[in-house]
Amino acid sequence: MNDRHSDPLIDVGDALRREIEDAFDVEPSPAFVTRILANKPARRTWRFSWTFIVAASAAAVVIIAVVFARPGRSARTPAPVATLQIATLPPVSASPSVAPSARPGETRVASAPATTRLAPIVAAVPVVRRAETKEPEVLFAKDESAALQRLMRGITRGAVDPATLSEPTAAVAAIQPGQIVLAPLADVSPITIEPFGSLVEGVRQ
Amino acid sequence: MPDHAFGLSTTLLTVSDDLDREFEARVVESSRLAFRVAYGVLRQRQDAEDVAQEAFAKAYTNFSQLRDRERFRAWLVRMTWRLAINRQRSDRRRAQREALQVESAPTAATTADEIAARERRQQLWNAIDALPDKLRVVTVLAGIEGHDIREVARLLRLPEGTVKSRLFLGRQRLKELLQ
Repeated sequence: MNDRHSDPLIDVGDALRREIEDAFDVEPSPAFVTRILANKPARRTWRFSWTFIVAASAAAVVIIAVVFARPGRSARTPAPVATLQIATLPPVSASPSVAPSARPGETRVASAPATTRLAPIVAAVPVVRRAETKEPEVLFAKDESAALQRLMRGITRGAVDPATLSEPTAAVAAIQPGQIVLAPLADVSPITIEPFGSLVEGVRQ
Repeated sequence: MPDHAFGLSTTLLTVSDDLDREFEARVVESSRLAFRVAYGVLRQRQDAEDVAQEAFAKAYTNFSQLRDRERFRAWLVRMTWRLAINRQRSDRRRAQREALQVESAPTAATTADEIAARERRQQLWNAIDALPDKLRVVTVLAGIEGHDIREVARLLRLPEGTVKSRLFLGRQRLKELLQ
């Protein structure tokens, strides 16, 4: 206020200044403040509640997504167990006499740490299982098994030199593929089929 | 609803209550200012109250950013001025019609001095309306509640020198128009 009175630059006339101030000396109605407070928009509470609802919904969606995602992950974890079964399958039953007895043990030891590496190969497991169940078992004759066991014992005791096993015998090496001679078959009289001459067509016997 | 959610909502509601109380205090102390700013443009009591109320409603929705008293008053003045100018422009024809009705109202019970004062007041309003917007808002605010230059500068967020020169130019122009 004092600025205006003391400043000659803007003090263009007290009469005009008073006139303007009088023109603006208007009071609002007594109920004006009450009306403002009564008609205060309730939008903030409304907005808060909707904000809260939206946030809660988003949190619920995230929680549901996490809950449903976890079983999917745990379902994949049994895969290593399946690979363990695969590793112990064929060699044992295929050749009990040829395969060393330590081999299954070795495969178990080797397969245990490999489970984590083999875990991602989940799709292969059912295929291998089908092969396990449907593959026919390899059978050996008893005398062949006995011969193989004797051979292994001989090798173990040093009675048989394994290096000589891979070399064919002189008689076998001498045979050329074109010289294979088939032994003649024993004389067998040709079979003759005689017609039924005594039968007459259309006559019941 | 879990306990912590209840706690959160209770805290938010408490903050909301605090804001409401602060806002009510601001309304009580600034309602006359907003009304007079609107009245300075519209010169209709009811229109001025409507515009001021609209400005307070907008202020209420943004009150969390306007808790500082000076900032609130400045924001309120500018918002009220803008709303009043918009109302004046959109209702110009209606305002002119109402002004004509006021002018043509019977004055039998008034004295000659009162008629002369009313005419003079009308001339003053017309002169204020004729001012450019920048000079007009400074002149109106300086005429309200004895605002000095510093106060007007704070409300309009302008340098005091700018307000000073605009106030001088506005009053000079008014003087010329009223002569």
